[in-house]
This record gives sequence, structure tokens and C-alpha cells, in this order.
Amino acid sequence: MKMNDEELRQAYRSYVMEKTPESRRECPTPEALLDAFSPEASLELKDALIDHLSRCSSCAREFELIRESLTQAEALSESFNRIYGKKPGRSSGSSGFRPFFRQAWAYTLATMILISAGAGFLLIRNARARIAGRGGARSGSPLVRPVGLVDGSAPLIFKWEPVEGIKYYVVEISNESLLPVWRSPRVFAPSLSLPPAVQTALLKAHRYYWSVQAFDKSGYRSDSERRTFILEPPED
Amino acid sequence: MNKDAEKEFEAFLLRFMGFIRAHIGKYNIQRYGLDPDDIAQEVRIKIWKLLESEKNVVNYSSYIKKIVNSSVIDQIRKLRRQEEIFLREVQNHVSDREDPYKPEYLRAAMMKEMIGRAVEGLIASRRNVVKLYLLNMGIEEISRYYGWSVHKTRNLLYRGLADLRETMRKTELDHENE
Repeated sequence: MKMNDEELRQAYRSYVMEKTPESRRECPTPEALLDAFSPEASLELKDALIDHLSRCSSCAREFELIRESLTQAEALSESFNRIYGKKPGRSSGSSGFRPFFRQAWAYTLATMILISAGAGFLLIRNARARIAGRGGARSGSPLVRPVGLVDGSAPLIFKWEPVEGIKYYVVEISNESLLPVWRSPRVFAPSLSLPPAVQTALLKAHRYYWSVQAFDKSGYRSDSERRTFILEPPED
Repeated sequence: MNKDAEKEFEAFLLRFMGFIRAHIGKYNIQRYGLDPDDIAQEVRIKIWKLLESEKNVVNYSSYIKKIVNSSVIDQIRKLRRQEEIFLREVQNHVSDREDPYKPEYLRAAMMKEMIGRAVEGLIASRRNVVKLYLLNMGIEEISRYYGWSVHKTRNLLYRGLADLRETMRKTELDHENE
């Protein structure tokens, strides 16, 4: 039987829509679904998310809602800009020389922004070269521990090598599907003790991945490699 | 404020509300006891508050996108909370479901299962492009999602779809020979 694209789509969608999850606890958060559309999101994350969508009708629907609302939001903000331009109600009544001065200021400001952007670019490039020079283009901070099987009853401490010129770090833990399950607040030292409430929520005998994002003063992010750990179940 | 501009923007908002209402309707959220107009109304109120406020927003475009995104995310969170309760209920009443052994259900179910398996069997680089396409995304949207060129995306998609059809053809032949 030959099927055209539309029939294939209908059949596949109906296949996915039958995959009702028993619970949503293992699903990516709504924010993770939204983040997947960001150009900064890693390919691994994007792939892992799509794999999940094909097994979970609820997430597939939410993904579609987010995708279409992004398009709508784009159109809405474009129309807003076209109609109002700047803040409505503020520019009314301006005439004579004021627009000219405003325009002159705008050009001056634009020139200054361009100059600072150029300087900023050079600074960032130097900083990137420094970060990349220590461990390759994508390895911001070499990870030390935990790696492999770890004692689930002891506090879990993450440790990594410090990187020169870094302002703060963020630790991210992902599940087996590489979907983030926890993200730390900003950490200013190269180690982090996992909050007990988070550690309790991690499942024993399940594989988790962790990585460190290092941010420099300009906000440039470099990602570490990913390491895996498994919390050892308590002995009977 | 310019009256025409106000009317035009109001029209855009109405269109947006229509979209949200239709989309949220797909969830059949009445069964969760939620109102489909909530999200659109929330967006509308936030945008009008923005227009009325003296807030010094530098980039309205991204601000509006944030309003829409945060309203959508809030709504999804509410839906999930209700859905958890619903899913538990469904599991308690599995026997209430329609008879899945009618011949027409079986045929359709087999076809869907065959497509699902064939998609999963595609090579990794083509599989997710095909999945996104089958989940209603266009080639340009997929290329934006992955940050690839349209040319690369189209190539992967066409090859993936060709592989998919070939696998399905072979599976059908196998069934006929059985």
C-alpha cells in the first residue's frame, strides 16, 4: 500500500498519540521543551527530546503547542513593533528639531555601540582562546568526580578543575535520555555539594550524566564534557 | 494612542487568541476542568498592562515573546497537574476503554505500529528529521530547530522518507508471504 506524506503523517501522529505515559514525572519540564528551540541548546539535548516525544503523546502535544506559539509570538511581536515602533504614547507631540536631535543621538549611540561591540568581540575572542586552550574547544572544565558507581548514602560532591577567567559555574544533571533533571544555581568555586533533597530525588541504580557550564565575565559559556554516575543502591 | 493602530493590534490579539483557543482545545482540557480562554486572556492582559505601564522596556519584541512563552509554560504546568490526576483515574478504569479487538481497530493498529517501528529503525542522522516532519514540522522549521542549512535538512529528510517507504514495502511483502 502506497502512502503519501500526509497519510504517513496522520498514521505516525496517531501512533504517537497512543503512547500515553503512566505518569509525567520522567517527562522533560515545560522549560526544557521550550529551551530545545533555542540555538544554544545542544544537539544531544534536541535529539533526546525528540526521542522522548515519540514515546509520550503528552509531551508531543506540548511540544507542538510551544512550537506554534513561538511562531505566533514572533508574528505578534512583529505586528506590535510595526504598529507602535517604540513605546506607545511617549513620542506623541514631538515635532520640530526634537526628532532631528533624537536621530543625531541615535547615530552617535549606534556608533558607540558598534565600537564597544568591536572591543567586546576582541575581549571575548581572547577569553575564548584562553578557555579553549586548556581543554579543547568545548571542554570548559575537566570533570574530576563523581564518575561511575558512587555511594548513594553519602553526600554527593561534584568536583571539577577550575578554569582561568571564569566568573561562575553551573552544574547540570541529566537523566539517561540526556534530559536535564536538575540545574544548580551559580557556583563560584570548582565544587558543589548536591542538596540532600535533590540527591534523595535521584533514582538509585539509574545512570545520570553531569556536566559543568563555565561562564566568563562577558557571559560566554563553555561546556565541559559529560560524565556519568550511578547511585549505588543501599545493601540489604 | 493612535486609534487605528490600537484596532489593528487588537485584531492581531484576537487572531492570537483564536489560535490559542483552538490549540488548547486539542488537549480536550475541559475534562481537566480548565478554561481554554485562560491563556489567551492572560497574554492579552499582560500586553495591555505593558502598553499602559511606564516600564522602560528596551526590546518590546523579545518582551512580548517572553510574555507569550511564560503564559504558555504556566498553562502547560497547570495542564500537567490536572493530567496526573486524570492519568491515575484512567488507569483505574482501563476496562472502560473501547474494545480493541475489532478487526478495523486491529488493521489500523498494525499499520500504525509498522510505521512507528520503521521510523525507529531509520539511521540516526535521518530518524529525528523524519520524526519532526511526521509530527507536522516543515523543512524550514526543522532546519531552524537544528541550526542546519535547509539543503542539508531536505537531503536528510528525503533520504529518510525513502528509507521509511522501502522498509514499509519490505514489511508488507513479508506479511503477504507469511
